[in-house]
Amino acid sequence: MNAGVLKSRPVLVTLALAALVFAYWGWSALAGAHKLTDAEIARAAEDGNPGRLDIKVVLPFTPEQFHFMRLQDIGRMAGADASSVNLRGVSVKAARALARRYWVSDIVPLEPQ
Amino acid sequence: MSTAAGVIQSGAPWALAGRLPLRRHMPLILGIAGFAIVIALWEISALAFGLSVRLYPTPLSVLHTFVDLIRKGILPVHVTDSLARYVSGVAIGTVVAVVLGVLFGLNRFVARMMLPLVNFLYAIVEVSWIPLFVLWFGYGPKVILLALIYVVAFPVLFNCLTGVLSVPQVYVNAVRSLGATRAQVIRQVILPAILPNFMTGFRVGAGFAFRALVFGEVIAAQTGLGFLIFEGAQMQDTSRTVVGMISMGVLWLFFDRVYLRPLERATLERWGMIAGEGQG
Repeated sequence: MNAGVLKSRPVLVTLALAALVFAYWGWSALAGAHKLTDAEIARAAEDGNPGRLDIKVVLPFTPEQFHFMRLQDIGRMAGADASSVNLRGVSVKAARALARRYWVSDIVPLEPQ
Repeated sequence: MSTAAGVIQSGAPWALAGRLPLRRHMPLILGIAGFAIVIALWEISALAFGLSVRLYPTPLSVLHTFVDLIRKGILPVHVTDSLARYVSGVAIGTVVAVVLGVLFGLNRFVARMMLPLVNFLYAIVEVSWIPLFVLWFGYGPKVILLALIYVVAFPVLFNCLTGVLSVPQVYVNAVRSLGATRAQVIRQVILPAILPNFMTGFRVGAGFAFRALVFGEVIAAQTGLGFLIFEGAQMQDTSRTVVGMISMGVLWLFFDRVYLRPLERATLERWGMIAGEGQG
Protein backbone atom coordinates (compact mmCIF):
# COMPACT_ATOMS: atom_id res chain seq x y z
CA MET A 1 0.00 0.00 0.00
CA ASN A 2 1.13 3.54 -0.72
CA ALA A 3 2.92 5.02 2.33
CA GLY A 4 1.47 8.44 1.51
CA VAL A 5 -2.05 7.11 1.96
CA LEU A 6 -1.17 5.73 5.40
CA LYS A 7 0.18 9.14 6.45
CA SER A 8 -2.81 11.06 5.11
CA ARG A 9 -4.98 13.05 7.48
CA PRO A 10 -8.15 10.92 7.15
CA VAL A 11 -6.25 7.71 7.89
CA LEU A 12 -4.27 9.19 10.81
CA VAL A 13 -7.36 10.72 12.41
CA THR A 14 -9.35 7.49 11.96
CA LEU A 15 -6.52 5.50 13.55
CA ALA A 16 -6.30 7.98 16.45
CA LEU A 17 -10.08 7.74 16.99
CA ALA A 18 -9.94 3.94 16.85
CA ALA A 19 -7.12 3.99 19.44
CA LEU A 20 -9.19 6.28 21.69
CA VAL A 21 -12.24 4.01 21.40
CA PHE A 22 -10.10 0.96 22.11
CA ALA A 23 -8.51 2.66 25.15
CA TYR A 24 -11.93 3.69 26.47
CA TRP A 25 -13.23 0.16 25.92
CA GLY A 26 -10.31 -1.28 27.93
CA TRP A 27 -10.64 1.26 30.71
CA SER A 28 -14.42 0.78 30.98
CA ALA A 29 -13.99 -3.02 31.13
CA LEU A 30 -11.54 -2.66 34.03
CA ALA A 31 -13.65 -0.06 35.83
CA GLY A 32 -16.80 -2.14 35.29
CA ALA A 33 -15.23 -5.18 36.94
CA HIS A 34 -14.59 -3.09 40.06
CA LYS A 35 -18.12 -1.64 40.12
CA LEU A 36 -19.78 -5.06 39.93
CA THR A 37 -17.73 -7.93 41.34
CA ASP A 38 -18.51 -11.64 41.05
CA ALA A 39 -19.32 -11.72 44.79
CA GLU A 40 -21.88 -8.93 44.31
CA ILE A 41 -23.41 -10.78 41.37
CA ALA A 42 -23.83 -13.89 43.55
CA ARG A 43 -25.48 -11.83 46.32
CA ALA A 44 -27.75 -10.00 43.88
CA ALA A 45 -29.12 -13.19 42.27
CA GLU A 46 -32.93 -13.39 42.36
CA ASP A 47 -34.45 -16.22 44.37
CA GLY A 48 -35.85 -18.86 42.02
CA ASN A 49 -34.79 -16.94 38.94
CA PRO A 50 -31.23 -17.95 38.07
CA GLY A 51 -29.24 -15.58 35.90
CA ARG A 52 -31.35 -12.59 36.94
CA LEU A 53 -30.18 -9.94 39.39
CA ASP A 54 -31.84 -7.37 41.65
CA ILE A 55 -29.53 -4.35 41.72
CA LYS A 56 -29.23 -0.77 42.89
CA VAL A 57 -27.60 1.46 40.28
CA VAL A 58 -25.77 4.32 41.99
CA LEU A 59 -25.32 7.49 39.94
CA PRO A 60 -23.26 10.64 40.68
CA PHE A 61 -26.27 12.81 39.74
CA THR A 62 -30.07 12.83 39.87
CA PRO A 63 -31.33 10.46 37.16
CA GLU A 64 -33.27 11.93 34.26
CA GLN A 65 -35.82 10.53 31.81
CA PHE A 66 -32.90 9.52 29.56
CA HIS A 67 -31.47 7.25 32.28
CA PHE A 68 -34.86 5.78 33.26
CA MET A 69 -35.51 4.83 29.63
CA ARG A 70 -32.15 3.11 29.29
CA LEU A 71 -32.48 1.31 32.63
CA GLN A 72 -36.02 0.17 31.83
CA ASP A 73 -34.65 -1.50 28.72
CA ILE A 74 -32.66 -3.95 30.86
CA GLY A 75 -34.88 -4.52 33.92
CA ARG A 76 -38.00 -3.66 35.92
CA MET A 77 -37.85 -0.35 37.74
CA ALA A 78 -38.43 -0.79 41.46
CA GLY A 79 -37.97 2.72 42.79
CA ALA A 80 -35.53 5.57 42.55
CA ASP A 81 -34.14 8.37 44.67
CA ALA A 82 -31.89 11.39 44.12
CA SER A 83 -28.83 9.34 43.23
CA SER A 84 -29.87 5.74 42.59
CA VAL A 85 -32.30 3.54 40.70
CA ASN A 86 -33.45 0.08 41.81
CA LEU A 87 -33.81 -2.53 39.12
CA ARG A 88 -35.12 -6.10 39.27
CA GLY A 89 -34.74 -9.01 36.87
CA VAL A 90 -31.57 -7.75 35.17
CA SER A 91 -29.50 -10.33 33.27
CA VAL A 92 -25.88 -10.73 34.35
CA LYS A 93 -24.70 -9.68 30.88
CA ALA A 94 -26.77 -6.49 30.95
CA ALA A 95 -25.63 -5.70 34.51
CA ARG A 96 -21.98 -6.09 33.51
CA ALA A 97 -22.56 -3.87 30.42
CA LEU A 98 -24.22 -1.27 32.65
CA ALA A 99 -21.26 -1.33 35.06
CA ARG A 100 -18.97 -0.41 32.15
CA ARG A 101 -20.82 2.89 31.61
CA TYR A 102 -18.72 5.78 32.91
CA TRP A 103 -21.78 7.59 34.28
CA VAL A 104 -22.58 4.71 36.65
CA SER A 105 -20.74 5.12 39.98
CA ASP A 106 -21.49 1.72 41.43
CA ILE A 107 -23.82 -1.26 41.26
CA VAL A 108 -24.74 -2.99 44.51
CA PRO A 109 -27.10 -5.87 45.31
CA LEU A 110 -30.60 -4.68 46.14
CA GLU A 111 -31.69 -5.36 49.71
CA PRO A 112 -34.36 -8.11 49.86
CA GLN A 113 -37.92 -6.82 50.20
CA MET B 1 -2.88 34.16 -17.76
CA SER B 2 0.63 33.10 -16.88
CA THR B 3 1.31 36.54 -15.35
CA ALA B 4 -1.72 36.25 -13.10
CA ALA B 5 -0.65 32.78 -12.05
CA GLY B 6 2.81 34.06 -11.31
CA VAL B 7 1.45 36.84 -9.08
CA ILE B 8 -0.71 34.36 -7.19
CA GLN B 9 2.17 31.96 -6.76
CA SER B 10 4.84 34.40 -5.67
CA GLY B 11 3.49 37.75 -4.60
CA ALA B 12 0.44 37.56 -2.42
CA PRO B 13 0.64 37.59 1.39
CA TRP B 14 0.08 33.85 1.46
CA ALA B 15 3.45 33.39 -0.21
CA LEU B 16 4.97 34.33 3.15
CA ALA B 17 2.79 31.79 4.87
CA GLY B 18 5.28 28.98 4.47
CA ARG B 19 8.12 31.08 5.92
CA LEU B 20 6.60 32.62 9.02
CA PRO B 21 5.11 30.21 11.59
CA LEU B 22 2.35 32.63 12.60
CA ARG B 23 1.31 33.32 9.03
CA ARG B 24 1.29 29.63 8.23
CA HIS B 25 -1.48 29.16 10.75
CA MET B 26 -3.30 32.33 9.72
CA PRO B 27 -6.37 30.57 8.21
CA LEU B 28 -6.85 28.63 11.46
CA ILE B 29 -6.34 31.75 13.60
CA LEU B 30 -8.80 33.72 11.47
CA GLY B 31 -11.32 30.88 11.66
CA ILE B 32 -11.07 30.79 15.46
CA ALA B 33 -11.30 34.61 15.58
CA GLY B 34 -14.58 34.43 13.63
CA PHE B 35 -16.04 32.09 16.24
CA ALA B 36 -14.66 34.23 19.09
CA ILE B 37 -16.34 37.36 17.70
CA VAL B 38 -19.71 35.61 17.40
CA ILE B 39 -19.42 34.23 20.96
CA ALA B 40 -18.50 37.69 22.30
CA LEU B 41 -21.49 39.28 20.51
CA TRP B 42 -23.71 36.50 21.84
CA GLU B 43 -22.56 37.16 25.44
CA ILE B 44 -23.00 40.93 25.04
CA SER B 45 -26.50 40.49 23.59
CA ALA B 46 -27.46 38.18 26.49
CA LEU B 47 -26.34 40.85 28.97
CA ALA B 48 -28.03 43.65 27.00
CA PHE B 49 -31.41 41.93 26.62
CA GLY B 50 -31.40 40.56 30.18
CA LEU B 51 -33.63 37.63 29.22
CA SER B 52 -33.96 34.45 31.28
CA VAL B 53 -31.19 31.89 30.67
CA ARG B 54 -33.86 29.28 29.91
CA LEU B 55 -35.16 31.46 27.10
CA TYR B 56 -31.90 32.95 25.79
CA PRO B 57 -28.92 30.91 26.95
CA THR B 58 -25.52 32.52 27.43
CA PRO B 59 -22.29 30.96 26.17
CA LEU B 60 -21.42 30.10 29.78
CA SER B 61 -24.76 28.36 30.42
CA VAL B 62 -24.32 26.38 27.19
CA LEU B 63 -20.82 25.35 28.27
CA HIS B 64 -22.19 24.32 31.66
CA THR B 65 -24.95 22.27 29.99
CA PHE B 66 -22.42 20.71 27.60
CA VAL B 67 -20.27 19.51 30.53
CA ASP B 68 -23.37 18.34 32.40
CA LEU B 69 -24.66 16.34 29.41
CA ILE B 70 -21.30 14.62 29.03
CA ARG B 71 -21.06 13.91 32.79
CA LYS B 72 -24.50 12.29 32.71
CA GLY B 73 -23.65 10.20 29.65
CA ILE B 74 -26.44 11.83 27.62
CA LEU B 75 -24.49 13.68 24.91
CA PRO B 76 -22.17 10.77 23.92
CA VAL B 77 -25.20 8.51 23.34
CA HIS B 78 -26.96 11.11 21.19
CA VAL B 79 -23.77 11.84 19.23
CA THR B 80 -22.93 8.17 18.60
CA ASP B 81 -26.52 7.34 17.60
CA SER B 82 -26.60 10.27 15.17
CA LEU B 83 -23.18 9.37 13.79
CA ALA B 84 -24.15 5.73 13.26
CA ARG B 85 -27.30 6.77 11.37
CA TYR B 86 -25.43 9.38 9.36
CA VAL B 87 -22.54 7.12 8.33
CA SER B 88 -24.79 4.17 7.42
CA GLY B 89 -27.25 6.38 5.50
CA VAL B 90 -24.51 8.18 3.57
CA ALA B 91 -22.65 4.93 2.83
CA ILE B 92 -25.73 3.05 1.56
CA GLY B 93 -26.99 6.07 -0.41
CA THR B 94 -23.60 6.55 -2.06
CA VAL B 95 -23.18 2.90 -3.02
CA VAL B 96 -26.73 2.71 -4.44
CA ALA B 97 -26.20 5.92 -6.42
CA VAL B 98 -22.83 4.95 -7.85
CA VAL B 99 -24.07 1.49 -8.90
CA LEU B 100 -27.19 2.97 -10.52
CA GLY B 101 -25.18 5.79 -12.07
CA VAL B 102 -22.74 3.41 -13.73
CA LEU B 103 -25.53 1.00 -14.81
CA PHE B 104 -27.61 3.79 -16.34
CA GLY B 105 -24.49 5.35 -17.77
CA LEU B 106 -23.49 2.23 -19.67
CA ASN B 107 -26.18 3.05 -22.18
CA ARG B 108 -26.38 6.69 -23.23
CA PHE B 109 -29.98 6.24 -24.32
CA VAL B 110 -30.96 5.04 -20.82
CA ALA B 111 -28.81 7.75 -19.20
CA ARG B 112 -30.53 10.50 -21.20
CA MET B 113 -33.90 8.98 -20.33
CA MET B 114 -33.12 8.80 -16.59
CA LEU B 115 -31.43 12.19 -16.19
CA PRO B 116 -34.61 14.36 -16.13
CA LEU B 117 -36.32 11.89 -13.77
CA VAL B 118 -33.32 11.89 -11.40
CA ASN B 119 -33.17 15.69 -11.59
CA PHE B 120 -36.91 15.83 -10.80
CA LEU B 121 -36.56 13.56 -7.74
CA TYR B 122 -33.41 15.44 -6.66
CA ALA B 123 -35.55 18.58 -6.35
CA ILE B 124 -38.13 16.91 -4.08
CA VAL B 125 -36.70 17.44 -0.63
CA GLU B 126 -36.58 14.50 1.79
CA VAL B 127 -38.77 16.43 4.23
CA SER B 128 -41.73 15.91 1.92
CA TRP B 129 -41.09 12.15 1.80
CA ILE B 130 -40.83 11.66 5.57
CA PRO B 131 -44.62 11.76 6.24
CA LEU B 132 -45.05 9.02 3.58
CA PHE B 133 -42.15 6.98 4.98
CA VAL B 134 -43.74 7.22 8.44
CA LEU B 135 -47.06 5.96 7.01
CA TRP B 136 -45.39 3.08 5.18
CA PHE B 137 -42.76 2.03 7.73
CA GLY B 138 -43.91 3.54 11.03
CA TYR B 139 -41.87 5.73 13.39
CA GLY B 140 -38.34 4.55 13.95
CA PRO B 141 -34.80 4.35 12.62
CA LYS B 142 -35.95 2.96 9.24
CA VAL B 143 -37.54 6.31 8.36
CA ILE B 144 -34.37 8.23 9.19
CA LEU B 145 -32.21 5.79 7.24
CA LEU B 146 -34.49 6.02 4.19
CA ALA B 147 -34.51 9.81 4.33
CA LEU B 148 -30.70 9.84 4.51
CA ILE B 149 -30.32 7.36 1.64
CA TYR B 150 -32.74 9.40 -0.47
CA VAL B 151 -31.07 12.72 0.22
CA VAL B 152 -27.57 11.37 -0.53
CA ALA B 153 -28.46 9.16 -3.49
CA PHE B 154 -29.97 11.75 -5.83
CA PRO B 155 -27.19 14.37 -5.88
CA VAL B 156 -24.61 11.58 -6.28
CA LEU B 157 -26.66 9.80 -8.97
CA PHE B 158 -27.37 13.02 -10.85
CA ASN B 159 -23.70 14.01 -10.85
CA CYS B 160 -22.56 10.50 -11.79
CA LEU B 161 -24.97 10.45 -14.74
CA THR B 162 -23.81 13.90 -15.83
CA GLY B 163 -20.23 12.68 -15.54
CA VAL B 164 -20.93 9.56 -17.59
CA LEU B 165 -22.65 11.58 -20.31
CA SER B 166 -19.73 14.00 -20.46
CA VAL B 167 -17.22 11.24 -21.24
CA PRO B 168 -16.40 11.62 -24.96
CA GLN B 169 -17.66 8.54 -26.82
CA VAL B 170 -14.37 8.49 -28.71
CA TYR B 171 -12.55 7.44 -25.49
CA VAL B 172 -14.89 4.50 -25.02
CA ASN B 173 -14.58 3.53 -28.68
CA ALA B 174 -10.80 3.80 -28.54
CA VAL B 175 -10.55 1.47 -25.53
CA ARG B 176 -13.07 -0.95 -27.06
CA SER B 177 -11.16 -1.03 -30.33
CA LEU B 178 -8.15 -2.20 -28.33
CA GLY B 179 -10.18 -5.17 -27.15
CA ALA B 180 -11.34 -3.89 -23.75
CA THR B 181 -14.26 -5.68 -22.13
CA ARG B 182 -17.27 -3.79 -20.73
CA ALA B 183 -15.83 -4.14 -17.21
CA GLN B 184 -12.51 -2.69 -18.39
CA VAL B 185 -14.31 0.24 -20.02
CA ILE B 186 -16.02 0.96 -16.69
CA ARG B 187 -12.83 0.59 -14.68
CA GLN B 188 -10.44 2.36 -17.06
CA VAL B 189 -12.63 5.08 -18.57
CA ILE B 190 -16.00 5.65 -16.91
CA LEU B 191 -15.05 5.52 -13.20
CA PRO B 192 -11.95 7.76 -13.44
CA ALA B 193 -13.90 10.22 -15.58
CA ILE B 194 -16.83 10.56 -13.19
CA LEU B 195 -14.71 10.95 -10.04
CA PRO B 196 -14.77 14.78 -9.94
CA ASN B 197 -18.54 14.76 -10.60
CA PHE B 198 -18.99 12.08 -7.97
CA MET B 199 -17.09 14.15 -5.40
CA THR B 200 -19.27 17.20 -6.14
CA GLY B 201 -22.44 15.13 -5.71
CA PHE B 202 -21.10 13.39 -2.62
CA ARG B 203 -20.20 16.66 -0.93
CA VAL B 204 -23.64 18.11 -1.65
CA GLY B 205 -25.37 14.90 -0.52
CA ALA B 206 -23.29 14.60 2.64
CA GLY B 207 -24.20 18.18 3.57
CA PHE B 208 -27.90 17.65 2.87
CA ALA B 209 -27.77 14.42 4.88
CA PHE B 210 -26.91 16.37 8.04
CA ARG B 211 -30.09 18.40 7.66
CA ALA B 212 -32.14 15.30 6.89
CA LEU B 213 -30.69 13.64 9.98
CA VAL B 214 -31.88 16.43 12.28
CA PHE B 215 -35.31 16.50 10.72
CA GLY B 216 -35.68 12.72 10.80
CA GLU B 217 -34.59 12.53 14.44
CA VAL B 218 -36.99 15.28 15.44
CA ILE B 219 -39.86 13.32 13.93
CA ALA B 220 -39.02 9.65 14.30
CA ALA B 221 -36.39 9.03 17.01
CA GLN B 222 -35.92 8.91 20.75
CA THR B 223 -32.19 9.50 20.53
CA GLY B 224 -29.78 11.52 18.42
CA LEU B 225 -28.81 15.17 18.20
CA GLY B 226 -32.02 16.08 16.39
CA PHE B 227 -34.00 14.60 19.27
CA LEU B 228 -31.82 16.47 21.80
CA ILE B 229 -32.45 19.75 19.97
CA PHE B 230 -36.20 19.13 19.88
CA GLU B 231 -36.38 17.83 23.48
CA GLY B 232 -34.46 20.87 24.76
CA ALA B 233 -36.96 23.23 23.13
CA GLN B 234 -39.91 21.19 24.47
CA MET B 235 -38.48 21.27 28.01
CA GLN B 236 -37.74 25.00 27.59
CA ASP B 237 -34.12 24.17 28.30
CA THR B 238 -32.72 26.09 25.36
CA SER B 239 -29.13 25.47 26.50
CA ARG B 240 -29.63 21.82 25.54
CA THR B 241 -30.99 22.86 22.17
CA VAL B 242 -27.94 25.04 21.56
CA VAL B 243 -25.59 22.24 22.70
CA GLY B 244 -27.26 19.97 20.13
CA MET B 245 -26.90 22.61 17.43
CA ILE B 246 -23.24 23.27 18.24
CA SER B 247 -22.49 19.53 18.33
CA MET B 248 -24.05 19.20 14.89
CA GLY B 249 -21.88 22.02 13.55
CA VAL B 250 -18.72 20.63 15.13
CA LEU B 251 -19.40 17.18 13.68
CA TRP B 252 -19.91 18.64 10.21
CA LEU B 253 -16.70 20.69 10.46
CA PHE B 254 -14.88 17.55 11.58
CA PHE B 255 -16.21 15.49 8.66
CA ASP B 256 -15.55 18.26 6.20
CA ARG B 257 -11.99 19.01 7.32
CA VAL B 258 -10.84 15.48 8.06
CA TYR B 259 -12.54 13.47 5.33
CA LEU B 260 -14.38 15.41 2.64
CA ARG B 261 -11.85 18.14 1.82
CA PRO B 262 -8.78 15.87 1.68
CA LEU B 263 -10.78 13.37 -0.42
CA GLU B 264 -11.95 16.10 -2.78
CA ARG B 265 -8.45 17.56 -3.04
CA ALA B 266 -6.95 14.16 -3.73
CA THR B 267 -9.58 13.46 -6.39
CA LEU B 268 -9.05 16.79 -8.13
CA GLU B 269 -5.27 16.42 -8.00
CA ARG B 270 -5.56 12.96 -9.51
CA TRP B 271 -7.87 14.31 -12.19
CA GLY B 272 -5.46 17.15 -12.91
CA MET B 273 -2.57 14.72 -13.11
CA ILE B 274 -4.42 12.55 -15.62
CA ALA B 275 -5.29 15.60 -17.75
CA GLY B 276 -1.66 16.77 -17.58
CA GLU B 277 -0.35 13.44 -18.74
CA GLY B 278 -2.82 13.33 -21.57
CA GLN B 279 -1.81 16.79 -22.71
CA GLY B 280 1.88 16.07 -22.39
